[in-house]
Amino acid sequence: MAETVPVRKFNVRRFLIFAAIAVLLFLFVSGVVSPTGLWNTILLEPMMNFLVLLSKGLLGNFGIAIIVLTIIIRIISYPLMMRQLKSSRAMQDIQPKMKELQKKYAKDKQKLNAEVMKLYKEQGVNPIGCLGPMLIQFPIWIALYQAIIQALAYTPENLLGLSARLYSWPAIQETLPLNNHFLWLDLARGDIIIAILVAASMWVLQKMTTVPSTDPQQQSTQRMMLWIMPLMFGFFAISLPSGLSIYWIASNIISMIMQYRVTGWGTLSKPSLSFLKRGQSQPAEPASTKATYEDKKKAGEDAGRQKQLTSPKESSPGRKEAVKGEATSQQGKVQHGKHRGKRKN
Amino acid sequence: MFNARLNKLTTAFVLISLLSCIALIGCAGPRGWPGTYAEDDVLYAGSSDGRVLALNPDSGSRKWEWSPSVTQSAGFGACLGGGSGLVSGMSYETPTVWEGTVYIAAYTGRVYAIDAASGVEKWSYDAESAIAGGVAIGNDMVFVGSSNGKLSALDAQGGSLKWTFASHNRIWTTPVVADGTVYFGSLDHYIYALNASDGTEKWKYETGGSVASTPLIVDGIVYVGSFDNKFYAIDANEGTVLWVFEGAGNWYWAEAIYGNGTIYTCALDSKVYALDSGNGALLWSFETDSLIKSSPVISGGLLVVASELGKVYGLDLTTGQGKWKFEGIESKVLAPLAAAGDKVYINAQNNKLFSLDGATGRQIWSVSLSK
Repeated sequence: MAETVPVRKFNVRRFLIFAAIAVLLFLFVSGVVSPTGLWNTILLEPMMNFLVLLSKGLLGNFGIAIIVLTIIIRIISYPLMMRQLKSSRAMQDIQPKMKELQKKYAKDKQKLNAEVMKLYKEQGVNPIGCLGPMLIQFPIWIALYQAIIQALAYTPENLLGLSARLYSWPAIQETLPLNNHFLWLDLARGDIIIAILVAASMWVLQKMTTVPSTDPQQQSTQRMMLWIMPLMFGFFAISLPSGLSIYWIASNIISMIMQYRVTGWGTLSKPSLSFLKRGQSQPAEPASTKATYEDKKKAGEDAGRQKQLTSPKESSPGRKEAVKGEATSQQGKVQHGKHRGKRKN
Repeated sequence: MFNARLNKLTTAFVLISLLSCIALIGCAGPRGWPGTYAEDDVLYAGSSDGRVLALNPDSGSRKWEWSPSVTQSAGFGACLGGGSGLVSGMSYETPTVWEGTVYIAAYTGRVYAIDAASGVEKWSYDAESAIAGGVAIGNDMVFVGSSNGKLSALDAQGGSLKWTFASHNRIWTTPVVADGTVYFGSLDHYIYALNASDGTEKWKYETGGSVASTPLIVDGIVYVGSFDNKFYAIDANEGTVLWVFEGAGNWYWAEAIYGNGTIYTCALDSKVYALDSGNGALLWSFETDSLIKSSPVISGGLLVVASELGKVYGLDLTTGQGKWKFEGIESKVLAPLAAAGDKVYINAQNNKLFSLDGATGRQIWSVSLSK
C-alpha cells in the first residue's frame, strides 16, 4: 500500500500576519518608513488628538477624558481581552488534570512533558494563548500612556513636542493648554492618595488573575508578583503625573469587571487568600474530582469525545462537572463554580 | 516543567514590557534652553545645569562662573518623562544685564541677581512656582512670569516683591517693558499690558491659542505670535489689532525681530517669514530643515536663523536668499541666538557655546559650558 503524505493545510491568517511583518520590515530597512514615524502616525497622534478633542467635548475636563478614552479603548480591544481571559481560564480548568499527570509521571520528565502536551492538545488549550492578545494590546496601552503624558505638557519641552503631534484643527488648538485639575488632583503631579488607589486596584486585579499553582516554586513567584507589581506601580504613581494613575485605576477596574465575568473572583476569595498567606501547598484534590476526571477520560476514549474536547466552548459541560466536584472540598471554588454555572444557565 | 517556564515567560514579559515602556518614553526630563547675553567685551551664557558663565567673546575663555544656591534633583519622574518633581537648576532663560547686575530666573522658581563684574550673588527671590521664561528690567523693577500664572514685579536693587498680577494660566514668555508698560503673553491665550508701576491692567487681547512667544515692541506696536498659527500686530496703547498674518502652518514660539521696516518671525512649521511691519504683507519666506524655536538675530548684514536640528542659516534680509549654512553644531538648538558686532553666539542643547562669523557662517570658536 502506498504511503500517504500528510498535506499541511494552508493557513490564511498566518500567511497574512507573516506577509504584513515582511512588508513592514522591508519598508523599515529600505528607509521608506521609520518605525517611530509609523508609530506616531498610526497610534500616538490619532490617540493624542482624540484625547484633546474629548477633553474639549467634556467641558475641558481632562480627567474624565482620560477615563472615557480608557473605556473606549477597552471596548475596542474587548474581543482580544476576552480571548486572553478565556485562554487563562482554560489553563485554570485543566489544573487538576495537570496535577494528576505530575503525580503519575513524577520520575519521568520526558514522558510528563509528552503527556502535558497531549493534554493541551486534547483540551484545545494553547499554553501561550494569552500572550498573543496581550502582545497586540500592548502597543495600544503604551500609546495611550504616551498620549496622556505628552498631552499634559507640564514642561516646556513637552509642550514644544506637542506642536509636532497635534493636528492643526482650530478645535484642538483652542483647547490647549489642557486643564490639569480633576477632583483634588493636579493631573500633572504625583499624589500619594491616588498612588495608594493604584496599588490597591493592582493588587486586587493581580489576586483575581493569579492561577493557583501546586508547585511551591511557582507559588513563591506568584506571591512575589502579587506584591511587587502593586508596589512598583504605586511607586510610579507617586513620581509620575496623576493623569496616568487615573488611567491605571480606570483600566484596572475595567479589567476586574471583565475578569469577574469570565473567572469570578479567582484567588481573591477567602479560603484561597488564607491558603496563599500560609504558603502551604494546596490540599489534595478530593477523590470525587479524580473519579470524575478518570470517568470522563474513560468515557471520552470509549465514546470518541475527543473532537468535542478540542473546543473549549463545547467542552464546558465537562468542566462544569469538574468544578462541581471541587466545590465539595473548597468553599472558594464553590462560589467560583456557582458563578460560572449561573452564567451558563 | 512547562508551567514553570510559562510562569517565567509571563514574568519576563511583564518586566520587558515595563522596560520597553520606559525606553519608548525615554529618559527625557526637562533640560531647559538657556541662552546667551552678548556684549562687545563680555558674554553671559547660561548652562544646562543652571550656572551662569562670564566669557571672553574673542576666545570663549571663562572670566567667572556662578552656580545657583538652590538646586534639586530632577528625580525618578524625569526618567519616565513625567512632570512631577522635575525641578533642577536648569533654566529656560537668557541672562539679562542691567546696571552692572546679571539677572537670571531658574526653573526652581528662583530669580537671582549676580554682580556682573565678579559673579557674586547679590540677592535671590523665590517665586514659588517654576519659571520657564525670562526676566525684564524697567522702572527699577525686575518682572518675571511663572507657572502659577502670576507676573511678579521685584525691586531691582534688593529683590523685594512690589506687586503681582494673576493671569489664568502659566506664563512662559519673557515680559517686555516699554514706556512704563509691561507686556507679556500667557498660556491662557491672552496678551496683557499692565502699568509697570502698580500692576494694574491697561488692556488684554485674546488670541485663538496659547501665547508662549515673547512680544516685540517697536514704535508703539506689539508684535507677537500665538499657538493659533497667527501673528498679530497690536496697538500698544489701545490693545486693538492692526493686522494679522495667517500664513504659518504651526505655532509661533520664537520672539520676532525687527529691521528696516520688516518683521522677521519664525514658526514651528520650519519657516522664516519676513513681513511688512506696516500691513503684515508677506515679503518672503524661507524653509529650514526642522522647526524653529530659537529667535533669529541680524548680524553681518544677514538674518541668522537656527533650526531645532542645529542647522544655522545666513539669509539675505531683503530677498530671503540663503547665503551660507553651518552644520557643525551636531545638537539641537532651542535657545534664542545672540549677536554682538558681527559675531553670532549659539547656545546649543549639548551644553556648548558656538561663536560664528555672521557674514560668512565660519566658526570662530566653540567651548563647553560643562563644569
